[in-house]
Amino acid sequence: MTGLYKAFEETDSSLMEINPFITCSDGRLFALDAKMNFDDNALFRHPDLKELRDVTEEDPLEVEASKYSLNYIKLDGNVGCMVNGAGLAMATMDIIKYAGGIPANFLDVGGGANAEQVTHAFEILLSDKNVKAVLINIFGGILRVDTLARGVVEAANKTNIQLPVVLRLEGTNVEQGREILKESGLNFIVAETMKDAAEKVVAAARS
Amino acid sequence: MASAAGGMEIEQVAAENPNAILKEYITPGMGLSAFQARKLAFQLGLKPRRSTKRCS
Repeated sequence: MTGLYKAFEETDSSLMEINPFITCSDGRLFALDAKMNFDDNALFRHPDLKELRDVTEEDPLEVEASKYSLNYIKLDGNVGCMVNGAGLAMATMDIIKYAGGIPANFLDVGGGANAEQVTHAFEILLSDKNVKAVLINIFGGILRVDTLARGVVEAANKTNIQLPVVLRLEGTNVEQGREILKESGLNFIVAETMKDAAEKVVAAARS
Repeated sequence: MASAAGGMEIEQVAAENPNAILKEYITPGMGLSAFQARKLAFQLGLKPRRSTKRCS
């Protein structure tokens, strides 16, 4: 038990479990199986553990996303969402649910994403075949809205997107961002508020 | 956390028989103390001579 705790601490684990363990008739103890979860954010301290990573065991879309430092988690729904910031991404998923839809993913492009990351994020989103509509919910703080808009337009052109895309943009350079989207000639649905955006994207996913 | 009710869904054990889940709180600065490990071992029903002996 003390060994288990020591291993837990030294490897920066989030979980370490022996299950099951058995006792033999002669009194000896055997650990038959074990489970270990490691903290991703501490992996840089454990190059040996990092080596053990087997990407073939992971969701290919999530592997692709991690290449571009995007936080992507695939879910079961049909409303794809791209958001900046984990908190806003959680709130966006909540409001999609509240509007009667089911999010297809969690995707946080980070606070300071560049156009390239946005493009990759969009491609990853769209490669999920369950996605019927996309909601882009961005509050441009560090990430500029015009940067995002350029990334979205580039990705939309590149992937030749046929799905409805709802946008809710706010923050730094929002006017330039809206201008870029308007000039792109692409058919985006622009929403004013988060609630409005959620209702529009859920309706779009149903149709 | 420890439980002698192995081989089952632990969430189910926790819901139906919460007493079967043993808990010991570890202070990070102190680590797991020997007395805590012993306490868990006794509560799990391991015999004293067994709990001092383990497989390598």
